[in-house]
Amino acid sequence: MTVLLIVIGTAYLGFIFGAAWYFEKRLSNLGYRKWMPYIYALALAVYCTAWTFYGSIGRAAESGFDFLLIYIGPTLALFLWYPIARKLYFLKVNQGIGSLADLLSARYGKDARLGKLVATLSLVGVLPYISLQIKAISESFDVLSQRETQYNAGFSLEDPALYVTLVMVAFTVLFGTRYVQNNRPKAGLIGTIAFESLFKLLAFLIVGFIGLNSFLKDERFFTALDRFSNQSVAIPTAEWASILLISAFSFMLLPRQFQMGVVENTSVKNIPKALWLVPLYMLVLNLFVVPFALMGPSLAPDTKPDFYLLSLSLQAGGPATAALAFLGGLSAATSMIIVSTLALANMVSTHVLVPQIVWKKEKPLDRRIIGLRRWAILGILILAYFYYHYIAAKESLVSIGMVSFVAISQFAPAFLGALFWKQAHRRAAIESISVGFGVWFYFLVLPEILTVITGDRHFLGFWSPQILAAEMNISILSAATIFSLLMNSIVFIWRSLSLEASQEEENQATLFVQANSLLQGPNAPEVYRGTAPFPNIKSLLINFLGNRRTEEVLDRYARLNNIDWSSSPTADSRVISYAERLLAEAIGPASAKIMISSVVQREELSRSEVLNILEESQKVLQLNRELSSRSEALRLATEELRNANEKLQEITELKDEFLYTVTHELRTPLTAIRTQAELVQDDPEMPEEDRQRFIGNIVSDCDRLTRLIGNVLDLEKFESGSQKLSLSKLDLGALLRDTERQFQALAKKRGHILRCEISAPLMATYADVDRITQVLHNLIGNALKYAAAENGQVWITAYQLDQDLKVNIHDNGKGIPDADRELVFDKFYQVRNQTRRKPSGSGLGLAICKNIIQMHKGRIWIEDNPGGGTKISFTLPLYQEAQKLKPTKNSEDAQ
Amino acid sequence: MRSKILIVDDEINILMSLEYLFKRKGYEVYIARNGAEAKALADANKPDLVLLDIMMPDVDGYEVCDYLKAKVPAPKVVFLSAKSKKDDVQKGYDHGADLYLLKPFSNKDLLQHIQELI
Repeated sequence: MTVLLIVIGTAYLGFIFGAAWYFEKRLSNLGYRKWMPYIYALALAVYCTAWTFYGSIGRAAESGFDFLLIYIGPTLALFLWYPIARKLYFLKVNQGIGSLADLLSARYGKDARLGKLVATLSLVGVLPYISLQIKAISESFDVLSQRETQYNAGFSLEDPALYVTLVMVAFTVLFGTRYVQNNRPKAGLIGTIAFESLFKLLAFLIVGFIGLNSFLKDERFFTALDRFSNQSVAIPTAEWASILLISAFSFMLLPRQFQMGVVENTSVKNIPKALWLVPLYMLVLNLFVVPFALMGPSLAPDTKPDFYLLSLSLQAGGPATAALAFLGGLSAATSMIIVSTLALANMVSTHVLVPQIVWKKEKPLDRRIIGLRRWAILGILILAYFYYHYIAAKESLVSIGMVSFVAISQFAPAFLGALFWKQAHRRAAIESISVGFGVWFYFLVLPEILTVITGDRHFLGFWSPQILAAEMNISILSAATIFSLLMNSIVFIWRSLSLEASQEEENQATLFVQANSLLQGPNAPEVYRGTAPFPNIKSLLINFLGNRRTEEVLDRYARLNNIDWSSSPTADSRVISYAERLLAEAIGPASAKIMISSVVQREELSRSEVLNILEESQKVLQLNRELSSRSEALRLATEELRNANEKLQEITELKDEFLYTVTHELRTPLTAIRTQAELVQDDPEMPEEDRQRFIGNIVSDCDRLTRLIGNVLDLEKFESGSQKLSLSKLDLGALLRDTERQFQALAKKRGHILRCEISAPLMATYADVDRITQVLHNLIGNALKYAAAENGQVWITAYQLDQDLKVNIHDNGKGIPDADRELVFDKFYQVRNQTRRKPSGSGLGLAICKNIIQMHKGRIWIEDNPGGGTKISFTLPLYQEAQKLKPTKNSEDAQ
Repeated sequence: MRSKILIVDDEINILMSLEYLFKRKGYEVYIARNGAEAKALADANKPDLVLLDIMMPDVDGYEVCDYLKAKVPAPKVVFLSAKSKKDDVQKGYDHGADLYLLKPFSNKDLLQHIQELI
């Protein structure tokens, strides 16, 4: 087992180097941009460390469900995260923010002391937490290889955690310190952390699944489950509230979270997906915690609860499963170590170490700055390693994490004030953070120290933190949280209200608090005026960024702003603040300010001037937004107009087509009339018989013309919606029989048989009787026309169908092709379909019928009729009252 | 020898009156009510001129025109149509027609045009 662990552990670490190298090369490609929101969300899951991976089970075994609070807190925080993360992203870009220390220092007047304080306290607060991860690696190794953990053996070459730590140094140095500018996203780093998050999730799910599968065969599981679910849960409100609060703050402010959530973020657009992906991730990662916590005591009584996962997976799935669990824990630990160390090293080097060397003569300093960060990484990890070795041996995983959480939460008041409260003051921030850390130290660190020194945890008597907390009937963690944050906030608010800010701080406060409503990027407002010789600025940049990078950034700036450096010997305030931002990215806001001041003749602006500039910027931004929303509105309006125009054109085309067809149909009878009339006129000697024939024809052609014109006008009325129905009671059966009688003469003349069969009496309905009569005449007339020439037959049937009356008119003619069943109701279908053309008829009859039936809310169609012939059917709804039938304005809508 | 005219139209009144007109003027007249009839009559009687409607059941006037113009010797073809668009007229000439007359027309004009053609 030991060999297996060493081999796969080494392989895994080798693999993440490869992965980082790959991501560094590939992830910056534009093609990967669509994946960035997911990568960003996964990278934020660096929140889930070995403490989650192993410790949640331990915590669940000891105190039930409250391990979930550590994930509910961030989930709640994510509800508020979007506006905060968005603002932080803008500030990162426009102010050159590379860490929380940078942020607070820049906001509170680019203060060097505040930066140092935040950097130092972050280190103090988080170092034990890194040690905790090292401890998790080492212990997990020991649990699986069944070694006795030798905490007091001191420095030991046999400790695998030592090598992991060294590898972490190498990794962080290699992929975390590529650029002198702290806030440049590092693709290799982001990609690897995202990968590790994915890996630990999958490992946990696989192991969890295998474990659960085997537990389900064990009846002890069900008794444990029974006991668990019947447990009465005491709700320690103070404890729960404390954990929710500090985990929410820590999710935003822990160095590794700030690094991944803000510093390494590549776009505002990454944020929204994270808002639901991260909670989902945490939920899934905790799915199998309870089963393991339940089975731990019976299956692995000798294992510490924190490592139930390892022992149980070994029992349930053998060495391979246990090895996977080990790798999952390793990935959780390493990702936390890498990002935390990097973030701390950046803060410590920028705010503590770099200020010592900025005045050094030998330049450029960019390699030295990076070098300092690398030393800081090495130093921090060595410290963490030794801390793990000598102090962290006894505590369980979760408790040390909690101590860190409380520490980091001390930055919350100053942080929230920085972003949202213009009056928040530099000294208030320093004092409140100090007070908060003091209380934290008193409750959570002092007892440990006292124990080490005096051997007595209650050395202070009544003033011992434990006794104090016990007096109040709350846990020491709750006491620490409540008192530290309470006093912190009180000091912060009270001092901010009573102190007057300096000009510089006030400017920065405005830029931060109003970050969302001010112009960003090259048009960001300048709140001071000053000039400097351009070469001085350039050499300053070269000193800290190096030659190549300076050329790059200046070149880019020149291109974006259409400036030619060679023709502008003086740098204006815009260029100067750009340079200051670049410097801040390398050496922090405070040092950058000092450096810039050394070469710039700065002219202080009066308060009202600054206000004017900011107001201007806000107005311009407002104007930009309005303009863009107006142009959007214009675009929409244009589109609407275009659509309307297209529709009109279509309608016009249809009208043209209609007119063309109408004139064509008019010309035909006119031709016959004219030709015959001329014959009669030109030939006085024409026999009387011929004359009578021609004149008779002329009269019938005139009738045909009149009918056609009448139909055209009818149809026009229907289609324009000006046709109204005049409703009255309709006895459809009687009407059908009447009509049938009227057509009998015509049928006989053509030698056709016409029958009307109505099996049951039809209910009365309301309809426009004249119009329905028109429909019947049309349809029956058509049927007689198209019925077979020999033995032609036409049947009319009618019956009630649910709430409709249905009428069928059926002939035994040659029928209508399937494809044309819809088309026959089009105007002038006959004309377009020449094979069906017959000499009489306007070609509008069916179109009119359709309009009439639709106005009655009925339906007309050609029925499927395999027996041959044409069977045309229509329905009329049954109406009890006349007023229920309100015709639609345009009958076409009813289709 | 009398000139032979074939009149093709599906509109019975037009057909009958034109037949009457040309017979009175001494032409030998054949009438067809559709394209198929027209082709058969043209094959059988070799008319000198065909008066041709365009919109007819079964075979349309253009097709009949193509058929007639492929014959040797080809008869003269005059379209008599209610299709009034420029495109329609152009299409008629594209099919080799000698004349395109828009309905309605005057008998006098028609006779004059026919005399010019044969």
